[in-house]
Amino acid sequence: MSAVRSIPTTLLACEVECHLAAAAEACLQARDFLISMGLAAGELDVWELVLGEAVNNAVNYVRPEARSRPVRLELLGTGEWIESRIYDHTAGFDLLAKVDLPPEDSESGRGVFLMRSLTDELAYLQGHDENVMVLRKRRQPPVPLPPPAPAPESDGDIARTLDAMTNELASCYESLAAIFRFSSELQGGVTSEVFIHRWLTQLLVITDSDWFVLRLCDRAPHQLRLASTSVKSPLGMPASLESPEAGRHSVEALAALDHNDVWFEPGSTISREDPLFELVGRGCGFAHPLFVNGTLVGVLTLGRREDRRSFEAGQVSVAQTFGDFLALEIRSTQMQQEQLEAQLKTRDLEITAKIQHALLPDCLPSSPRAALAGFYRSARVIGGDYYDAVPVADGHLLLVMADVMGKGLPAALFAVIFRSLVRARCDLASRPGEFLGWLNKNLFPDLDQAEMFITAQLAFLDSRSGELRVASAGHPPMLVADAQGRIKEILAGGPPLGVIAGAVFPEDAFPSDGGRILMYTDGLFEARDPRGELLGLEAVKAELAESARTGESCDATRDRLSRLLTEFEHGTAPADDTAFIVVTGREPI
Amino acid sequence: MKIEYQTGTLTLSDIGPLNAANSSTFREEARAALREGVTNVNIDLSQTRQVDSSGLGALIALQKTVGARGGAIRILRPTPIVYQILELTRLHRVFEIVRD
Repeated sequence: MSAVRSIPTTLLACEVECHLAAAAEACLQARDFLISMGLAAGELDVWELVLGEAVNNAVNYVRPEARSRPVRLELLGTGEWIESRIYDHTAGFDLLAKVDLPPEDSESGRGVFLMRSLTDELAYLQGHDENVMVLRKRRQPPVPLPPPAPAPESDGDIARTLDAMTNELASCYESLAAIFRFSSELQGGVTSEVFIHRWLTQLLVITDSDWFVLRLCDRAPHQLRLASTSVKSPLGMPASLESPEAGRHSVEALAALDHNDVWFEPGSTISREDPLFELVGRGCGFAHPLFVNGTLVGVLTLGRREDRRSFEAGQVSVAQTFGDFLALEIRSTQMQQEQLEAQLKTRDLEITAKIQHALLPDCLPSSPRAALAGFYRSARVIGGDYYDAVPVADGHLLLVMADVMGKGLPAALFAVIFRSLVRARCDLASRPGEFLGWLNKNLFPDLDQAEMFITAQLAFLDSRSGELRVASAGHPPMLVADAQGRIKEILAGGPPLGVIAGAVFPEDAFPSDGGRILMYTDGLFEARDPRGELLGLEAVKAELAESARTGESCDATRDRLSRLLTEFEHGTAPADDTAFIVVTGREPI
Repeated sequence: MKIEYQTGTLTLSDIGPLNAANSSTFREEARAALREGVTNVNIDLSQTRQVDSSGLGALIALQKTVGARGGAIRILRPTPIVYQILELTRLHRVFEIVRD
């Protein structure tokens, strides 16, 4: 028996002109040759691709002076192996032991990677004048047909394709089924956090991931806050989105800022400051930003441990679909919440407006010594302005003007308390300074705790003498005009209520006869025109003086001041409430 | 190559092999078809038996053009070998791939 055994070998050798059309024709010839050798369809596709890469490189990078020389292609097949040699006349290149992929957005540089990945052996020998690329690939063993094996075409390639398709279908079915299941759970009122966690735990199983992290987007400050995770260890601080630089220190922030998936794998450059450093620095996976109608809802990151291979396309698209569906659910819950809050706010405003309205007297009482006219106008945001005129014993009158600092329900509530206290102690009306002291003593603890205060002015109109006694707590001065239009400011000033415990409030007294008196809140002189200019107290004084000179009625003065406001503002929405009372003193009958 | 438009989406189908011999023609024809108003592009690869490295380059170049308009490329029904190539070169991360 001979020590040397011959192997049945088939050979194709051809010379290819140095242009791409000839290269394409050579690859088709090579394919026919391999068909004749009985290779499977999948093997044929791979060989056609790698031979194309090799021959095209030989054509594209040929040295200019060698363009007239053909590229030689040899294919050699045994029962086990196919080997190909491509002889080129290029400047040659150094084939590295490890061929990396270029960046994802690079348009070239994948040819050698494909040749290496799709063959079992790749070598490149550089000669003086000619180089040789050698590609070897083991043939697929014929797959035994499973009994009873009805499919005549069945071979390994089709079996694998069918397997892949089955897996793909199974994962599609699983994700669809899960989406339906979770949608019906949502209607059953599962709370949001529990829902999200279960949803993502399910996703881990379907995509064969080891961990997930979901962060949701906060608006102020703009950041990604942890919402749900399968990871037990702490995950660091929220990832900030405040600056475009944020993406350098967090794959999640980068995905959010770039509106694109960010992939990582062992060896990726990950900042040590990345909140997910311990996870993304060691395994593979991707961060998928969740957008709904252009609004960032959050970022979902899925990963595998370092010893596992990266995600397949089917798993990626299932994860993306899951994430996007979840984002829709989250966004719609957020929008319902926002709507509810807006409704509550509107309701809050309605209640406040009702309280405000209830505070004001339906009609002002009359007095033998004075005529009264009141004005009240609320701003868009309701505040705590309040005025009152309370008839007290012997036909005397207590006039009240107050302004609670702040807006909304809290201010309105303090106005209610203030009004109740005033109404409860009308016996103190004739001593307005003392009355303010009592109000301050009773209101101080609550106002102090709420960090609020009230400015107020009390005036006692003596029906017999016509004397007006005034005390004030941090309130703008009362204006008094005589018949000649001369204006006096009555400050009678103590501190606002709620500022100093045990404060004392001085009183001022003067005859009201023939005078025209204006009590008001700061909304009157702080009205603004469309350019933002303030009306100012001087303009109010001038109008009051004019009114006093004409000797017009109390109502006419009120209308005049109301007109002054409207004309000055010229349609500008008032920022603050405005209240005032006009009092015109009468001569005793 | 067949070119169809539907509300902002361009669909390219009946595309032959995308390799060194014809990828630049594909690139030029696809760019020419990107008329105003088109944001997304569907590339039907069901009739494409081969995509080599220069074909991948053409797809990436097109993705950049479309991405600059705020759109994206979807690859429809790639054949098994083309799907394998996209996955191998990890471009399944770059393109949305619809297999059905």
